[in-house]
Amino acid sequence: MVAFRAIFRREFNVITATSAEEGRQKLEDNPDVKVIISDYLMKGITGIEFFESILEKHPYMIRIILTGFADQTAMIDSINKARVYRFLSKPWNEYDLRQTILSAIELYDARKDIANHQKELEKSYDSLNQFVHKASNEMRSTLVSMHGIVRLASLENKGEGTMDYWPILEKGIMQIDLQLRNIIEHYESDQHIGISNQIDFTKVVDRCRQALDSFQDFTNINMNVAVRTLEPFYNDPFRVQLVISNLLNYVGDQINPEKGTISLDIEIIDAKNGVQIMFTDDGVGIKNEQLSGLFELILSNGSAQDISLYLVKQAVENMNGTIDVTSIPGEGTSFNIFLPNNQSEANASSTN
Amino acid sequence: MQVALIDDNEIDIFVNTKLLETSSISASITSYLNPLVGLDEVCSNNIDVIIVDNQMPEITGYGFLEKIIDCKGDALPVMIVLTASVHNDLKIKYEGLHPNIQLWEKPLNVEALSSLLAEA
Repeated sequence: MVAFRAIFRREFNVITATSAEEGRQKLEDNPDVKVIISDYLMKGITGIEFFESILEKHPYMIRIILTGFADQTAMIDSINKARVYRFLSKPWNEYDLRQTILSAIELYDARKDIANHQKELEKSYDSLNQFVHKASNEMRSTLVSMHGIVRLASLENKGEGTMDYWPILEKGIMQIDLQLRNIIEHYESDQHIGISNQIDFTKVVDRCRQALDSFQDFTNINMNVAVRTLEPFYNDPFRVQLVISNLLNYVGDQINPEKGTISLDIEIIDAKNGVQIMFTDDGVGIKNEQLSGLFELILSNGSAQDISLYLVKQAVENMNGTIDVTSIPGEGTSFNIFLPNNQSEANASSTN
Repeated sequence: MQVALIDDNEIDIFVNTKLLETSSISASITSYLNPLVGLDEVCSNNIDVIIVDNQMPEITGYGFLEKIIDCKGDALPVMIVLTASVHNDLKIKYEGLHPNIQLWEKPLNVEALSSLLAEA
C-alpha cells in the first residue's frame, strides 16, 4: 500500500484503508471515490465479500481485486456477486495497474453520466405528463362550456337550415371531449397507486353507462348485464371502472351499419381466485390481421389506434389480470377478462 | 322558484342562465361570479335550487356544500354541483350524500333538473 501511494499519489487522489471496516468508513466519508482496489484475501473477509457489502451504497464505484492466486471459480463469483471490473495479479505491474485505473475512471464517468441523464429524462417525462394532464383538464373545462353554448343554440335557434349544424357541431365537441378524457384517464391510470376495495359490479356498470351518456347513443345498444358473482370481490375500483367504461365506449363503435343496433351481453362470474368479465357483442367484428395489434397505441406500420383498448389492457395488467379477444368479422366480438381477487390484501391492509 | 347560479366562469353563468330560461322550469335566477358572495346571499335568503361549479379558486363545490349544510341544516335546498372533471374519486365522494345533492357533469342538463325537481 505504501508503494502504491508513493507511485500514484501525484496522478490520483489516493485514500487507503487497512481493513474492510476502515474501508467502509472511508467510503462514507468520501462518497465521490470512483475506483476501489481491494485485496482478495483479508483478515476475516474476502475482497468479494467486502465489495458485496458496499455494492448497494456505492453502485457506481468501479471495483478491482488484487490477488496472489488465480482461482477461476473465485473470479466468476467475484464478477457475478460483487460486479468486479478487473482481477489483477500480484505482484502488480505499475503500467498495467495505471491503465486499468484510467479505464475504470472512464467507465465510472460514463456510467454516472448515463445515470444523470436518465434522472433528467425521468424528470422531463414527469413534467410533460403533468403538463398534458393539466392542459387536458383545462381544455376540457372550456370545451364543456362550448358544449353548453351549442346545446343552448340548438334550443333557441329555430332558423331554417341552421338546425342541421348543431348536432354535427355537438358530435365534434363530444369527440374532442372523449379524446381529452382518454388523455386524462391515461395519465391518472399511470400515476394511480392501486388500492383494493370491494367492487359492486352492478353499480360500476351503471356509473359507466351514466358517464358515457353524453357521448354515446345507448338507444342503439341492447345491453344485458348479468352479474353472477357470489364471492365478495376486491380490486382497484378506479381501474375496474376504467376497463368497463372503455369497453362500453369501444362497443359503441362496433355497430353494424346494416343492422343499426348492437346487442351487448356483459356477464361477470366467479372464477378461481378472481372474476371473469365477458363482453360479447354482435357488431361488425374485427378482422384477423387486426387482432394482434388491437391493444397497441401505435401499430408497427405507424398508424394510430383507438386509445380505449390500450387503456383497457393497461388497466387490466396493472391489476395483474389478463385479457383476450376473439372475433368473427360480420358476426361480433368477445372480450374475456380475468381479474384476481385481492380480498386477502384488502383484509391485511384494513387490520394494519 | 328561486335559483342561485354560482360559477367563476362567465360563459357557464351565461349558458346556464339561458338554459334555465328556455326550459320548462319557471324560475327567478340570480347568478354570482364570486362564490363567497353567493354563499352569503344563499345563506341569508330562501333559495330552492343552487347550481354551483365544483372547481372555483376561492372554494370547491364540496367546500361550498359543507358551508350550506352549516347554515341551512335540515332545510337543505336542491343542490347541483357541476363538474368538468372525470375523476372517479369525485363521483364516489358525492354518492349517497343526500337526495337533494347531486354531482353532474357539465353542461347542465335542464331536462334532468326538471325531473329531479318534479320528484323533490
